[in-house]
Amino acid sequence: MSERTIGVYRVAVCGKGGSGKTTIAGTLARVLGRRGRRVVAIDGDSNPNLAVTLGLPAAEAQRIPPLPRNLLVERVDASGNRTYVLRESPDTIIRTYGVGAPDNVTLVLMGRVDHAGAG
Amino acid sequence: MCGTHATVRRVLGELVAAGDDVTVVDMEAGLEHLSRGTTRSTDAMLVIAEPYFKSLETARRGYELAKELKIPRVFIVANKVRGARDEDAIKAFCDRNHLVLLATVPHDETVLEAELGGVALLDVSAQTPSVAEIQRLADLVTAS
Repeated sequence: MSERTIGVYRVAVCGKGGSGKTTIAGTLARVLGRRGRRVVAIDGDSNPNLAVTLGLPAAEAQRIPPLPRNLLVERVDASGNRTYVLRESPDTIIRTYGVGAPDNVTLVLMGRVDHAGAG
Repeated sequence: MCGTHATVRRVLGELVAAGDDVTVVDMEAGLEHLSRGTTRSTDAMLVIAEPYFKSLETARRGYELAKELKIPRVFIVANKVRGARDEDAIKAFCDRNHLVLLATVPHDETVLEAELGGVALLDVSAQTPSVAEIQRLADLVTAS
């Protein structure tokens, strides 16, 4: 990831459920967008609420597809170490699966917890 | 952790926008999902804490975990703060545990109004104390 240029910045917001982390993450994203930054907001919570917090209508928020599961490819080197690499560039993934939200924000949804086939 | 879910979570750590973009990630609630895989490209972690002991303790653990995961900048952001007593308690807790307190977002009825209506806080009002503090937070977090 060393090729990232100055100005590119990734900030993560964590906290307990109910702490207001989604409100702060969503409002922070829109504030930065209003200032003219291009902002990508990623909902990494398996109980996703960021869409509504960003200002998308609830009906639209429910129709946003999550990222497909085949975006990562496992690589095993000669020593048997496993690494995962993205099948497509982050920009392609964001362009393909991202949804436009107000104030220049693009939302990407990681997906809900789905136990079918997992485990 | 179930395998498929763990694999999908790894995408989270790799997804960073290019160009002049800022990426803001709303992480999974709780600390169980914080790992090198999900936080790989993270420059700054904001750990949200409410002004009561259990929340502060959870935030302290999250903060220390984020440090262990080698995230370059880790901060506490206090939320739902009502008055000087809350603020003093949070400051004292952070001082005692060597945690950097970056911002203190006040309790704000406008946030409750937005949640009740299922709309964005900024679409209810941009002229409200919580938004003012998040604007300040935006200055601090993107200043390098």
